[in-house]
Amino acid sequence: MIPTLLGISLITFMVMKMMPGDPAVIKARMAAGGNMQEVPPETLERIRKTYGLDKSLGEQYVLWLGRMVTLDFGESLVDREPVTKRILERLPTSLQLSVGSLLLAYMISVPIGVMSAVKKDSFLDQATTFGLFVLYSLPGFWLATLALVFLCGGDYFKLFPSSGLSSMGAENLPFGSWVMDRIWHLALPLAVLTYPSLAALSRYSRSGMLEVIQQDYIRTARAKGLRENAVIFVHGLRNSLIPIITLLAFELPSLLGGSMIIETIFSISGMGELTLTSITSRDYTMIMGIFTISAFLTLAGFLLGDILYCVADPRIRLQ
Amino acid sequence: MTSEPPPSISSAPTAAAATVPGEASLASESWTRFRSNRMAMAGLWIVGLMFAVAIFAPFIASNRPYYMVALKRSLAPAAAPAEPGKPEPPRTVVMTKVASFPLLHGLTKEDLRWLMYPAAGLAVWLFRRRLTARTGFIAVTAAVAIIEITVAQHKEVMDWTNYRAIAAQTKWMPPIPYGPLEQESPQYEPPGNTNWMGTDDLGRDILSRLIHATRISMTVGFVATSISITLGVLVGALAGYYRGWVDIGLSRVIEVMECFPTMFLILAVLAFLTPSLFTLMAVMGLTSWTGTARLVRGEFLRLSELPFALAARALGAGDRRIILGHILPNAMGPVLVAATFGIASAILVESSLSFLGMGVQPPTPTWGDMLSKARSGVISTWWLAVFPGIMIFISITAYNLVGQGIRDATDPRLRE
Repeated sequence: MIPTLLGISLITFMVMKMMPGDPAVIKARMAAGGNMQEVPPETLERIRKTYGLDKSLGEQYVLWLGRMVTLDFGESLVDREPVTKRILERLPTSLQLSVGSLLLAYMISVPIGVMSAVKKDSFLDQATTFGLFVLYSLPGFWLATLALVFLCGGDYFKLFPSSGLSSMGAENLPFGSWVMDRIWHLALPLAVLTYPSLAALSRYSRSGMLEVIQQDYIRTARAKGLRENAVIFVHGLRNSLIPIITLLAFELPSLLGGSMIIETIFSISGMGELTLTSITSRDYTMIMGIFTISAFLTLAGFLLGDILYCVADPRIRLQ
Repeated sequence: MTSEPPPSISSAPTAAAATVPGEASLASESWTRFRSNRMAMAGLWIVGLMFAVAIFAPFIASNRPYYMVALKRSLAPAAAPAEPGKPEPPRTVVMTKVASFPLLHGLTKEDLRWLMYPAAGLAVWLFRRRLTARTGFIAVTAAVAIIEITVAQHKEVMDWTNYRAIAAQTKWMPPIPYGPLEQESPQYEPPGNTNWMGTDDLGRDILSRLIHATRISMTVGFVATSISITLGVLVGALAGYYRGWVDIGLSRVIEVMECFPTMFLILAVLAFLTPSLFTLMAVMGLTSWTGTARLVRGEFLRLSELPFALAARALGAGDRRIILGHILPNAMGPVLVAATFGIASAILVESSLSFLGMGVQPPTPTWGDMLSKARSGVISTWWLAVFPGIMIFISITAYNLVGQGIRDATDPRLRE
């Protein structure tokens, strides 16, 4: 954990130092409202002193480490609001998408995997394998664009809203209708975000199940006369889950990246949209904040994977 | 897999099998197995077709004719030199036939590169048996030098003539007579007889742009993956072979790199650099090597324990020789699989970056950029949404099919 965190801080520090332009000059221009051509040297001196830019690289790194641990990434260069505050505003939206999509992916792919393992080499098995392979190769942003053009108004069907997470005035709706409204808005983004991971997950769940089915204790369970459902779902499933739980950690980064594009297409104001706008406006402090926090989130995902691993398999203990 | 080939080495005897028994027979056996996989072969054919399209793009879609004979009006030379003080005698107008090759004449540097590199690659491949590591290296370097010098010498012709409108005696136009950057057609024209796949917001022919955009995807897929595979093999081999502190250090680096979502990493770095095809490929390659490194590390950990590696060591072979000559060839199967899937995902990443406007900059045609036009359009333009997406889908599927085929063909667990 700690070495990885140190590594993350080192990489972010390096990327930060790669940025073009003197941060003190940028800061001074920002303070002057962006229209200061010649920055007086004494101002630069003062800024360098305040932000520790006059110190050696090593000391600057330690300073950065301290700010990173306290999640203090400074102010946005565009609207001068604290970066952390802006990110925390957007984070729930993105987490709704990625966590929802993760849950959905597991809920769909585990049963598919189990089914195709139990009915190995049947027509159903081959058909789902082929179908999932095709889905896997379909670019998500293409499907999202198609959905936007064909299903969200325009000259064709208008079945889903084309942008945002809730309708106008959704806050005043009763809770039930609010949830329905949210689901209606989330349906397309979630679907597009989820389907690419289905193929890999169900493949792994299938091979995990196939391995488990050949074990002696499954034969014992059958021999003592348990119903097939009990054999598969009580004795088999839990053991077959172990390999795909480790995948959870690896799904998270790609989900975060994927949600960036999906958020842009469906005009959902989450982390992804924030990232893109801060990149186009060269808001360096914001980029660094997002960059670091996304690494933290991924690390948290890895940790969660480890914990779930122990839950599914009591033989493994967390150190 | 439709059918299993007979599991005998003698079924595919090759010249190389006689010289280097173990290695070549493994490769040729895998190739036999690969060929019997119909889906994988289909994927390979599509990949080949796409490369052919990329190489010959200007010959398939261009607004310049291959060959043209036009009548040129000119004045006949005066019969006698004009005398001073007298009006010049009237000269007769003569029509002369002028043959020209506008397409060949107007080839760009990029067109030349695309024609010459595959040809050089093919030549090296054909003579691979005659080449040793050293002569091979010299041949490749020489080929690159010759091509780059030729390209640098080549002058691009700025020719804005509208050849379609010219009445000529003979005019051989390419099958798709529109250039990728040419804004001659009406805007937002739905697919029809003139523009088979319609036109975009600037009146450019979609089909022509799709064909020329194949180049970007193929280049990015190939180069970015080469960078990431090279880096991944290097790191993985060092970690897996030397173990101990090297392994711990490099594994930490891999772990840290994996904490950054690739898309975020690429976008964050691209934000600081001037966007160009080269920076795009470099950044993509430098951020996506961790998977390969993990894989190669595992293979090296496993293989370096096996008798053949120990035997090589006992015979006194050095580290470099054991790594490059003994272990790496045996780890090539999984690496090749990773490379093929890597190309597919690089094509996907490039098109998503271009879709977001962060990739290759306009007016260069890319599939992702073309697709993004469908979203920003004022009117519903289904052809802008459908056709570029189909191209991305087909190319990704083809590479994935090939990757799956290689995996099935090289996986020792599947071998009977």
